[in-house]
Amino acid sequence: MTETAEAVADVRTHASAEGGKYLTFSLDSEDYGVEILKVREIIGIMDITSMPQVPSYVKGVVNLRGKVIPVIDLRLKFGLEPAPYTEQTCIVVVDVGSLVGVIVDTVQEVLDISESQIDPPPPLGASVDTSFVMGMGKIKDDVKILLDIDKVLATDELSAAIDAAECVGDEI
Amino acid sequence: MTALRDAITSLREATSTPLERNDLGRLAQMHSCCQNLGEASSADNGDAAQAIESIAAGLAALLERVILDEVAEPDAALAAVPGITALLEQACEGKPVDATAATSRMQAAIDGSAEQPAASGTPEPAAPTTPSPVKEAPAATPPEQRPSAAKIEPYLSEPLTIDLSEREHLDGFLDEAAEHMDNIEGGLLEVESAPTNTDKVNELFRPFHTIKGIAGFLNLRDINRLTHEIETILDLGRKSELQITTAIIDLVFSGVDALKAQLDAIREYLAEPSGTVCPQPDITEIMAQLRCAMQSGPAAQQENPGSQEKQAAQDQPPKQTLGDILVAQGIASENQIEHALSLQSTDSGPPRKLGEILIQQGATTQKELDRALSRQSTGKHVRDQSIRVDTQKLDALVDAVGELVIAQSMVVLAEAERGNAKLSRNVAQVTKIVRDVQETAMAMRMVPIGHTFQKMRRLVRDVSRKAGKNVELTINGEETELDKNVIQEISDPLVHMVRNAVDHGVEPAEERRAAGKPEDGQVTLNAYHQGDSIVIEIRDDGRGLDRDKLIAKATERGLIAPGEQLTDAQAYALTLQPGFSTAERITDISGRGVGMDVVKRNVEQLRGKIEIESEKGRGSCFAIRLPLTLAIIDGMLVRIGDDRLIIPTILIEQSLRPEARQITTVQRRGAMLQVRGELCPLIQLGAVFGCTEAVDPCENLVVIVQCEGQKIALVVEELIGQQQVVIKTLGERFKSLEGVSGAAVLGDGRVGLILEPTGLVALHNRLGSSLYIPRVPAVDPATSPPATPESESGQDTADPASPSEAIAESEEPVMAPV
Repeated sequence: MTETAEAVADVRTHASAEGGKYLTFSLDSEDYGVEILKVREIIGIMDITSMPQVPSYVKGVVNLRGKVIPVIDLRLKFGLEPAPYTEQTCIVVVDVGSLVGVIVDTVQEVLDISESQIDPPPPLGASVDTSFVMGMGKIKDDVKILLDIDKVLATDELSAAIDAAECVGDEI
Repeated sequence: MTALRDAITSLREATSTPLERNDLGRLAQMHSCCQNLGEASSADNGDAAQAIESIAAGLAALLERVILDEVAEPDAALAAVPGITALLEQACEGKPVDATAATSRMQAAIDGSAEQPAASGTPEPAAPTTPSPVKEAPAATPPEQRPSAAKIEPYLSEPLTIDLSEREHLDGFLDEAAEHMDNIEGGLLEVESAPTNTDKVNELFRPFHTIKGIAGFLNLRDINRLTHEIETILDLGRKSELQITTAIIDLVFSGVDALKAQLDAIREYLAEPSGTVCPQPDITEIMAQLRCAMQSGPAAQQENPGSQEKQAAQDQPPKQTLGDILVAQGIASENQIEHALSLQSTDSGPPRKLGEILIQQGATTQKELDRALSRQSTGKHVRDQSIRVDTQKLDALVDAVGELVIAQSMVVLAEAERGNAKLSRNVAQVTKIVRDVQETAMAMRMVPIGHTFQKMRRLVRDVSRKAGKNVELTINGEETELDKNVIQEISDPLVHMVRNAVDHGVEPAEERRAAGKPEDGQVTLNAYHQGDSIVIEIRDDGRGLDRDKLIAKATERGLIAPGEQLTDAQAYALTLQPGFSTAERITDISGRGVGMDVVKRNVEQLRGKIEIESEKGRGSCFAIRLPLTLAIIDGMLVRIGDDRLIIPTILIEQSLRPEARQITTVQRRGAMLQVRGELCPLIQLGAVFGCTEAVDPCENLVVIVQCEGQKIALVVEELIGQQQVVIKTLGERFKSLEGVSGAAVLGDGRVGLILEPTGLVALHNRLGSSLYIPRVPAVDPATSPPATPESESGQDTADPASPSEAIAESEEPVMAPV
């Protein structure tokens, strides 16, 4: 049963690393890309209302024209060093069933990446979680890490994180 | 022979339990069994087969009459059925039976009662009957041939009196019926195109049945009878006992039109009630046609084209003459009209109008005449003034209006900076309009609570009867309006509380007598607005809550420590705890596993609260205090660190700047604040939410908040002000978040979280307050150095901490301010 599920997930991972338009942005010194169809809009950094009991990468919620949406810091999510927000810092609002804001260092450009330019994620050893990497886009000398943003922002992961925080609390 | 067996078996099964005349389905099933039986036996030629055939035919006729509601004493007639079934069984087994005697018995039942309606003037089966002269029918004639159309008794309409206090129900019924009418017409057309499709006929059946049921309930006899007849025709149609021809469809359409005319008449009467009798269009003709079609098939109906024409004339109110309208409304009698008409034709002077003559004769007044004339000219009746709207659309509108209000307040802020006079004027104008729009949008969701209250009447009646008590329900404030969603949510808790009041609150009659109270118990439902909330009270004059018993029980259950001192309110609030019941016995009325704790949870989900007052021996009062709407709340905006939090105003008791002597710590961990003699746990809001370090309450402010019947003290840095906020949910991602019930967009466009105290207390208890307690100078404040958050943290962690605290500390980064 689980094997089948994995197989399905595997197929999905490779199938979704298709050519198309990707929004690219930088995080620390790395370049990432997300499918443009997932991106709803890009807004500048704004005041974020912090939330209790959430993992540190969940920065809180913001008001997107009347909608209250959660915002996560991708640097913290990927375990990178936190960096102060600047003029360059952007919130990329993506639609993963519901709207979620993703904080990135700088938004670069929209790139057309053909299927031939995409390589499957290379094995990087157990220390690197590649489950949400759909593929590696090679544009000339640059490499863009193409993210499966749905997986990055999976709802259950966040709830699990909150629950975990609560469980620790329970033990006290 | 097997067909015979099968039919007999199913007939016996159908009669195995006592028959009821309302159980049309079973009666109809038996009816078809009888017909099968008749058919099966007619293939045979023996004596026994003939006997079976005639008995079966007789039984079928009997059942048919019962189904058609034409037997005065249907219960008596049905009582004979099992005997006859037994006889049939015997006959099938080949035993000799006296078929003649059996058929005559059945015929007697039918004939004897058939005369009854004529004698009493009403075919209503429930009408009390005197023993009727039993007409001895020629026994040899099995009543196989259907009664001819001529034998159908005319339907006699009765004057319809409408109880205006039931107006609301009637309005609801009219709305619903109008909707059904549309469905019916669509359905009829479908049936017409596919008459053999019994599914379609079945679909048609349902709306008629609904209308019939409600009409019966509301005593709208004509509508009830009319739908009944149509329903019967459709029933025969779906069982293929009546071929659905175009003529039948036409007839049903006529019936529908007559129904509509009836509904319109009531609607018109309700719009302008005059007199006690509601004028109704005559349905004698259509009733006769329907019954005729039922009994003799469509043929008879076609033979009688005259009546159909007449029907057509009646179906189209616009074609009514003034005289007809006046007669229908009971304003003038037929004689008066005829007299006036003859005068009109014979008059030698200038031609006069009928109305003038009538007024001159004093038969009518100008006002009544005008109304009749306007009806004649438009041919339209008073139309329904409401429309049904999908609640989702309504919610979307309310949301959008919420955005508008926020955007508006931002514009106002910007305008204040600019200081342009013309702009200010325009902005002020827009502000006014926006407020109007907001009010209207809110009002659209509001419905009166009366309907929900009325449902309680039935409940009180049933429960009190079951409990063997006499309880009178008084209802006040039915017109009080609240949000539709709130009404839906409050219905179940209300049922529970009313049931409690009757079952547990009101004492049995003997006990009441002994206490010197009137034997009849009183339960009062009351609803009213108070400020920005609505209060629903359930009051009984029963035995009241026994404070001591409650405390004893709570101690026994370990809910409170022995000897703990509780205020009255706290003691009563114990009844809202899960698994708490003071009723010594569990009856089948109460104690079904839905406790008051569920009620409480429901009410809290609606951001309301329950207040209990009680006086031993005099009764109790449970008051549910609810916000007017779920979309907007009144909140107190408070600041902790850089964040702002909204505390629902309804929960706030007071706010104060405490003095050091009011604060007590226990083992340097739990802090308590003493307010007016009550000890409340002191919670560092900022620290629990992880946005600031703990702060010194004496340097800041404390807000006292109601939570589960107790009070908690929340330390905040600043009270910014009170404002109405539009509530937004945080969505699935944050559903397990504690201490926060939602978010709201504040005037400056930022988001504020809305506090939910129950979860906050849980969170506070889990995290442990020890790490965040500011060091309160226990000795003279003047001699000790001023406390700062930093020094306290240091101090606390320096304390010999238990291992669990160490864990809590290590987990701290999760909670760290971001």
